[in-house]
Amino acid sequence: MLRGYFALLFPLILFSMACMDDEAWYDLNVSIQPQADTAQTDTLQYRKPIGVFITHEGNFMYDNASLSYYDIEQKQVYNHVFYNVNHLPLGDVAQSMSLHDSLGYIVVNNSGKIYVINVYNYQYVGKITGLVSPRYIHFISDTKAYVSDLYAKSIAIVNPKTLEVTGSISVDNHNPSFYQHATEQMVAFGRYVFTNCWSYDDKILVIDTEADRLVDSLTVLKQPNSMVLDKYNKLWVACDGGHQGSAYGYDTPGLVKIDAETRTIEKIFSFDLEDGVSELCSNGTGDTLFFLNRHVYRHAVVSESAPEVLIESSYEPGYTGGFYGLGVDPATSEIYIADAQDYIQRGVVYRYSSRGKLIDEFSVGIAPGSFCFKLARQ
Amino acid sequence: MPIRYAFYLLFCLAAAIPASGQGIVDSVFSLQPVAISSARLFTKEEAGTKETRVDSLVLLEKINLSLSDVLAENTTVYIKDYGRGALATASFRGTSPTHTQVSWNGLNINSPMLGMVDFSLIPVYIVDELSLQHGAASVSEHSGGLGGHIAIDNNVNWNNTLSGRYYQGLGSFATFDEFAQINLGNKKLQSKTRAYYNYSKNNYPFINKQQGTIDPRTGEIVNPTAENLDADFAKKGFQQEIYFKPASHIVASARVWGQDAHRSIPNVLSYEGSDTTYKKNRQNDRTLKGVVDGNYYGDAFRVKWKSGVDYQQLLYVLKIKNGAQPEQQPVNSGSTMLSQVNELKLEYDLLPSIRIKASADANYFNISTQDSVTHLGYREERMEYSIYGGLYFSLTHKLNLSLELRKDWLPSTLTPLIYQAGFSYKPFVQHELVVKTSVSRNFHNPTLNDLYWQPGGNPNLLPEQGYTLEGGLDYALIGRNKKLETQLSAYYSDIDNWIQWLPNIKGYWEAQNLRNVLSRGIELNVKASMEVAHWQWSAQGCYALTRTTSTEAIHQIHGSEGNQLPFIPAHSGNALLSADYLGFYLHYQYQYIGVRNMLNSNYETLDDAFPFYRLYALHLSGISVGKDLKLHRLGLGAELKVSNLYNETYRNVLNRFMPGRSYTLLLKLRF
Repeated sequence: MLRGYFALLFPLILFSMACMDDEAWYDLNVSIQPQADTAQTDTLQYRKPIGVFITHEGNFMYDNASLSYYDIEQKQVYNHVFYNVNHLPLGDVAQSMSLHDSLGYIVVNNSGKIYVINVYNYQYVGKITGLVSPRYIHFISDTKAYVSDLYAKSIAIVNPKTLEVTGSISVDNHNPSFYQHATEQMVAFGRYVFTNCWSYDDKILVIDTEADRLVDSLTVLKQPNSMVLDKYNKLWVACDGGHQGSAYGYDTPGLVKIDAETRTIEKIFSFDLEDGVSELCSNGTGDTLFFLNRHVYRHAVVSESAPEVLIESSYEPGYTGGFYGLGVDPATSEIYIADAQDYIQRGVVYRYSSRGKLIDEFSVGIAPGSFCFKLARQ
Repeated sequence: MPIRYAFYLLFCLAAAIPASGQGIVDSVFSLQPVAISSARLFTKEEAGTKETRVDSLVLLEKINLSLSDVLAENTTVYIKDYGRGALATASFRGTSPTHTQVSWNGLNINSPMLGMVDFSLIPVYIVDELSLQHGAASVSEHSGGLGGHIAIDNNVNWNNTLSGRYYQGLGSFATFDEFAQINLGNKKLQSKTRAYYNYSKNNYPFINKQQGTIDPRTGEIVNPTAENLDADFAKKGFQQEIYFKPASHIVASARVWGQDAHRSIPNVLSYEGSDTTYKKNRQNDRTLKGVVDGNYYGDAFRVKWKSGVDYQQLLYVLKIKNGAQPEQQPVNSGSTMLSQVNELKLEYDLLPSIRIKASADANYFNISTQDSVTHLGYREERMEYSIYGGLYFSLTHKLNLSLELRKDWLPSTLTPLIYQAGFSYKPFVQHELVVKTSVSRNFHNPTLNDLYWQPGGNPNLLPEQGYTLEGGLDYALIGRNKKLETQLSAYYSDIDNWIQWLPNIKGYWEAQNLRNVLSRGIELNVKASMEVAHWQWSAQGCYALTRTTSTEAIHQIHGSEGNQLPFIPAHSGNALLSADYLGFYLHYQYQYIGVRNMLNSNYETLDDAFPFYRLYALHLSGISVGKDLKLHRLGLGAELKVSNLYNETYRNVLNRFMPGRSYTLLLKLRF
């Protein structure tokens, strides 16, 4: 009798097993997607952003980076825009996004590539592959852009039209002690591009965009992580100062003001040793700086006094997570703060007025890191 | 689909074969299930606690695999693995990988640096016995097993004079296995020598849904067919065991296990480098472990002494190639870990119904880790001491009691006195039914990386500590040709100071005591076997219901309270069914893992769903068919194993596709 049960058990279990369907899971999990933007404006003088893209790093090695889009007028957020529209995951660690005409270039760091989308209908257009560990893209012309890189020891030259890598600019200083230079953000001044070297480094490199060659470098504080050029052609650099126990050293973090023309340091605003200054950006007119140092700080570029806290973080002083990204609307100076929370749940974006009044907040993806403002069609 | 019907028919046919078949029962590879007896179900030492032993059938079924496969497919332990041959860590009763203590012949082999064990690096070849001490039961072995303890042991057959075995495996994706073992000895001295080699190119094909290109004909985005590149792995090793029995009450042994493992760690599937621009990750794990012990077995008094050394070396390199530039190494990290363990254990039977145990441990650790590129690292040398006492009491023939106490002394850390107190009650003399319950306190000290890793180690971390209440029912039915054994248990653990790593404002990750966690659940283990004429049938399975949640919001973060912790499935289960007939056998393995969330907050919205933050439920089947036969003293066998029988597309970690149906041919020789 018992043997009969066993004999039944085998085929019953076998019969019921093949029930996973990967394709079905993909189709089942598409959330709402934005409508394609068709509205046009002919007001060239008033180019007010109509939306902002938010890139999310996701969890390192889990290939779950994502892209959100926030409609500024409607106060509506659309998450996983790239995936929902294209049925294609974005990749691993979406580091930054830059616009060029109607195209958005999303730099996906650990996927070694840059995805290109149409920013008005969010559809996939193409990709630039064959990169080592790309961080940011900076457009020199319609046919030339630079891509900074964490590990390549060079800046890749790409053609945004053909989406091909056309060359590279070596930035290897052959330092036997540390792996340098890892290039990060890029800021244009005339024919030159400044790029900061964050990882175990203290240099700002100067690239001649006509010769595609490294021509100069400046030493700032340890670990410069972000830069911005103000209305007076002063290059501001945020440096985190390194960390305790680092063989490279551990100095006070600071905000460094450099004259872009003469490439000389004019002033340094120092912070406490345990502070971490990052995510430096400016308003549209280039007269006010904003950055993160646990809280959101504001600093008028002409001010001689220390930067002030504008928006206070609600996290306790000992908490390690929290505010992670910062963006400022170039037209309204509204401030967008990306709160990564504990990095293992979806983050939150807070939208504040330029005076620090909360306007909106919404849930986004994991580890929101950068903002990219979209203008209306012309 | 057709293959499913074919197997269905096959099994129906097998079941229809008359039970009174003719022939000689071949026992060359016959499986010896773990004996069930009331003595085992109702021992003083296990009063109130739960221990499960993995059946020898399972160990033979998975002889050419890793311990991670055995644990995942045949126990209630959830294994989080990153692919074939890749890192595989255990979550026992919903706890973190560092909360499972692992011993090899009594030597704790958790990495003192990482606190956990990579089970993919332990081949089943070196395992004779595998047992799991769930929750409170681990207090008798070691502190820190908030989830439990896994014991890997070897045993000796004093009747052996000369025997051995040689297995050769050939499988899909260029997978090769070689294993040889020779056992020599007499009634006083025995030697067991094993050597093995395992390699897989692991280059299985799959549809890469993490990449896409536009089809020029249709304009649609299409996913390419890809090969699992840079995922090869290899292990080679040996194990030597010497057993010496100068007198019937004195046994000494010495065991050494050495292994050299190399593996590539593949890039994420979305990575699109090129032939001249790429990243490659490689990791080498080397270990040499040795343990010697001496045991005196008196009538009432027993002394056990043990000393061991565990040397582990880990090298991780990230290589990049950028066009014409020479290859560079942005990461080159090396770690060496030396543990020296000494234990003296005494047992005394005060009365036939009362046993007392006491032990003292003195352990030395020396850790060095350094990245030659960033020059970050740390060195740490430390001594740790532990004393343990246990009282086991058969109050009546129906009631057993146990009380265990342990106290550890660690540098710069105040540790609590931990304990386990439990009882087992057997209400019916004629029935093998045992009711158990226990209460325990345990703690887990932060790992050395938690304390000292550069950057982010936090020397101010407090130990994770908690209380566990558990209970269960064990039942066995032992007939002349049939056996049934079930263990049903439930547990409730409250763990404080749970350690989590988070990025800080400087950008690097830092360890913190973040939260209070509640882990509770139900475990069910069932084994049944029967023998009818020349047929041997057996079925065994496990089910685990695991609910592990954070009881408070992390720094007021909305959504981190009350949710299942990431990567821990609420439901998991497995089954192994086997039919043996005159040396022919058919084994069917089934594994189920429920939905696993990636996030602290797991809401049921589409924005929180697959494929970004959730792994869907997994159903996997495998089958083995083989024949063993005996030619004089020589045993021969051949087995064909089919994994992922239904060729399912699935992922074990987020967005890493696992192989489809694969095959392994195993040839066996034994004498």
